[in-house]
Amino acid sequence: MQSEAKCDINRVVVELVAACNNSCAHCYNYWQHNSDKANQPRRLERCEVRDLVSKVRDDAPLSTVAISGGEPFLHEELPEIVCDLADDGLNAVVITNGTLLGEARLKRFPTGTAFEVTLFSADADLHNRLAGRVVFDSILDGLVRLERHGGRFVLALVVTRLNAHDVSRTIELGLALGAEGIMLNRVNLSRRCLPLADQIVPDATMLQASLDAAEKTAEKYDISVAVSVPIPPCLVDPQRYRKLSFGWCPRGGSESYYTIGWNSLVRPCNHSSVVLGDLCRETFADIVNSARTTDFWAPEPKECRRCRHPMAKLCRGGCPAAADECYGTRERIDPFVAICGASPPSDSSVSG
Amino acid sequence: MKLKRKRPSVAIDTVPMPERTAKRGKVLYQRGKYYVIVGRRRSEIPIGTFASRAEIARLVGKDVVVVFSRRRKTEIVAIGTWPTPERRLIRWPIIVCYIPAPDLMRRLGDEMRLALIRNMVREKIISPQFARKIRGAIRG
Repeated sequence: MQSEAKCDINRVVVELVAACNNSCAHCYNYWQHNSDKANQPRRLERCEVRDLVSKVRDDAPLSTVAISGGEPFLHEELPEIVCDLADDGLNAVVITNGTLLGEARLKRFPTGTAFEVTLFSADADLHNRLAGRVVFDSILDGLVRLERHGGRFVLALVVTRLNAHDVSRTIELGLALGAEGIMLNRVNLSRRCLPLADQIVPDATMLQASLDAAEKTAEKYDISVAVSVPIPPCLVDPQRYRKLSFGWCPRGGSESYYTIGWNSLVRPCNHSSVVLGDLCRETFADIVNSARTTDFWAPEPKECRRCRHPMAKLCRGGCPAAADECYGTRERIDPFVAICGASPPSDSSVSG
Repeated sequence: MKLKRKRPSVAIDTVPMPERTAKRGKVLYQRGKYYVIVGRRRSEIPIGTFASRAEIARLVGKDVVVVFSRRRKTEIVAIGTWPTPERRLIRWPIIVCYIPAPDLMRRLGDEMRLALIRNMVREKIISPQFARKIRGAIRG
């Protein structure tokens, strides 16, 4: 029986491996530019995952574990890890690029396992260009296998300057393949991809056109689309959209998803490289309730202090982790806002 | 051991559901229509867009879990068989930033998916061979 909760966090992200078989230009994983720990084994063993999750459960009413990476399918025991979580009564969702959904692997997952699969475009060349590899066909084949094996998936579409025009067709392709949910996540910048910002960040006109296209498609099929990575209302007004659900950074609240890395270090979320504590040495509650964690969530960007928008309290400057990763401070607004708002409109008109 | 394939019913929800959003109900078939009864309320289950007739027919007479939208308290977002110790309810997780909220989860009905596939072949987004594979998966 679970002991009394010492913190109210009910979900965590576990990063199984610090490696990926794709090479996306917009990837935010901090370890892509931090090679200082390259000599250590950069993965969690099955028993370690069990121990770490059990440690979190000692302190928190955990219900959901999102398995991420890198690419979690690079871990050969991924299905067994998901089985362990299911046996413990936890919901698991596997966040994957969808390139390794092989028959033999899929058979070993519990029926009904939830996957979150990235698809950048319905155009094979464009998807491959964004993924940095020729993988489009293998993802589509994998998703058909996934359905045959009773798996379920949510389509994650990362909107960049390159694919913002193809949102509608990509959503339709996802729905045709059996997606049960659509996540439209605008690109989120990190130190690694900041130098490419002018090539990957859509301008405000493109961003709005992509949201308009998503809204139109959602209306057509009577679905809802989750716009999960925060889009500050100073860029696009979320109240324009009926079928899009906008998400905001939980900033340490009960909806937060602290992230446990391959090295058992706990971070505020999967976007941040800031280490809040080591789950091998401290309890989860001690980490979550520490002054260091409180300090992480506290700053409000100076650009937003005079904001009078009705959503200002929700927004608070977009993604604080992105500001921290790119500028080294959370006192500044999410770099996406500055770059998206400032970048010149594209030459080509964007349509769904 | 080969696990038995299980398809979700009607729509999909998730998370450990609080009592206020998940209730016990029963599926009924009357004069060509399917209904779910929760307490004293009877709601018609729309067939076609999000759930096939066969999927709903399998639930007739059974105790089901009925999940109501947290935003619109009367709107049903999911119906599924009541979980037993052997057969847990499939639940989608909520994550704010990178994983969608359960109220947003729905899978298109088979007919709508097949129509989409036909369009995609016409627009040369997918090949006829690949379309056959998807149709095969849809038909189980």
